[in-house]
Amino acid sequence: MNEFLTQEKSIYLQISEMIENDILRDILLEEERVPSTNELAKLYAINPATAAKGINILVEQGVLYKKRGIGMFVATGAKNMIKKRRQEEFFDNYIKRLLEEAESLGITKEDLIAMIERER
Amino acid sequence: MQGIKRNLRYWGYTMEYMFLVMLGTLVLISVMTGWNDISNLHIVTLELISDTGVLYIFLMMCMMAFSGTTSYLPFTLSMGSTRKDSFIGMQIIMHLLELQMVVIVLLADAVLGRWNDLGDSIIVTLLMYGAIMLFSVAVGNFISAIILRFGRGAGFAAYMGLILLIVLGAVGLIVFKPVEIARVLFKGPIILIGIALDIISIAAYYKVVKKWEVRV
Amino acid sequence: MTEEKLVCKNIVKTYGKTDVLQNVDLELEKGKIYGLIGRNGAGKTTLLSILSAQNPATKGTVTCNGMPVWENREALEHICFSREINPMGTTGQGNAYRVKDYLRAAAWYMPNWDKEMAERLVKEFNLDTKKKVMKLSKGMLSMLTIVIALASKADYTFLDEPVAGLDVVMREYFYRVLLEEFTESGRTFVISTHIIEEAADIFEEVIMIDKGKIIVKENTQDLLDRAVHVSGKAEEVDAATSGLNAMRVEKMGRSKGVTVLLKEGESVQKNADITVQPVSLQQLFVAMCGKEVG
Repeated sequence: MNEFLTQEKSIYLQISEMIENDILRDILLEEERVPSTNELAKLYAINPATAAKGINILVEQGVLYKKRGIGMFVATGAKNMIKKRRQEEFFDNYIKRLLEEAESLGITKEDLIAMIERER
Repeated sequence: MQGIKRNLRYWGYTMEYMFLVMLGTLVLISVMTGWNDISNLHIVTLELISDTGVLYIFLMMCMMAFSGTTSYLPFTLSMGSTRKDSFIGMQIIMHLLELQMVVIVLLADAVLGRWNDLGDSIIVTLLMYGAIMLFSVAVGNFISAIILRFGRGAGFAAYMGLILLIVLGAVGLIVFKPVEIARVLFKGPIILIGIALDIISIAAYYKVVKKWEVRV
Repeated sequence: MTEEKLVCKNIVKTYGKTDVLQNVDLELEKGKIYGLIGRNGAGKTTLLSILSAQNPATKGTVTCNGMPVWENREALEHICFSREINPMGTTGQGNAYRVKDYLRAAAWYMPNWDKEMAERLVKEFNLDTKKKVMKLSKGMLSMLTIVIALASKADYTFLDEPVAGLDVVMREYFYRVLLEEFTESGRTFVISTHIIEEAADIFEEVIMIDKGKIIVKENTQDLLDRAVHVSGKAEEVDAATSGLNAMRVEKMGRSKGVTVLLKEGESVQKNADITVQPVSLQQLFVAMCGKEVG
């Protein structure tokens, strides 16, 4: 929470990502209530419908669930769910770009592995 | 009805305020001119009201028409009032204010004892004042219609032209007290002409208001 | 039961020989914040004044919850168009008026006027109620317009460039106050503004008007999801965007950049030689309505 919104990505995606990050960082615990769309709207100065869109993504993934009349809650196992999904998306989100950039710079796979080895 | 009530409140408040300011100015003028004769100040004031009352009635109506049309009417529309409600409210209040001024002048005349000379001509005088009142409102409405249709410049020109006429007329009025003129002008029908002019002016003004555009 | 909407159909507005608004069709739903963006003279103010029945349309109809709005007091009670206040004339009330008179008159005319809210906002905005409207600064006039709009509690509230003259701190304050009121009341707001990027996040839907025509009316997020800026080597850019509507073409040497608004089903072929970036609402607006330089 409380990160600034950027222009790099759709607002509602940033909202869902921020909530995911907070779950991973134990800022939001499982079975805890998540801020409502109105609260999020006020916090980030965005339209509640946009906040709702971000939250719905997480509901669809099963990361959040709705308790009627009370609000949105973090599902049990959400943390693992998010980790797993991000692991699967790791390739697309990071590796692919890395490989593309390396290729355009003429850095070979061996160079890359060497760099990683050095770091690890 | 609701819409008209709101407008009555607004126009009443706003115009009455203007009215009192103008009346106050008149009183102030008499105070300043009659300062040397303090004991008779109230007489001087009443005399001023009585003598220039007719002139004042015209002037007042023109000024109200001017600010009413250029400022207050658009304001009411921007507040969500319908043109019809605003117009009706404005007309009712304007007529009432005119009546108010006429009553004040007549009261001044009464206190000064000018009624005593009249005798049978009381009805004539009343009709004449009524006619003047209606003429004034009619003039105010015509000028308002001119302003809306042709712009403030044209309205101002009409206003100036009218003032010129009034000043000339006022000179004449001060020389001859109204009572004389009433006898000279006596024609019962004058009130009917007044009513007719009033109605025509209202129609003309409303016609222009209906399609008028509010522009900042 | 008639649906709760403010609808205008086929609105044409002609001034002299020019059609200032051409065949405008809009449906404004209850409980949404709409952004109305367009260049100066595009027709924003004219449209808003017609929707609120302050001015007549040359052709077409405007209905609110099924009732025609023109000269209809009942319908107009649901609508508030808080215009720019011109202290010199028409809506400025002439010389004598003070802020408190203005507010009092608003309370008389608006059936749902919230006096407490007005007082609270006046305090937060630091408006001197005894000050004459004529003497107010541009910023304070904006604030007064905002107070009237918010305290009117009208179902459909229009604000025409409400932040003109406000400094950035006050602008951010305005957006927050607006959102707060919106989340509590669910009123519909239509905000026209030139300061697009700041306000983009609060608009659920954006309406773009260019030369009297509505060129966009869409959910803001959906619209932005469809907009991309493609840049890189000119041939690569052309190849990636062939068949697509390329706007705002910029060139520098062998490099080229275009902004594209994708239609349903279209996409840009990504490859290593081009950069594909998201586009902000302001950038999209300039791409669609902007003026070519040179």
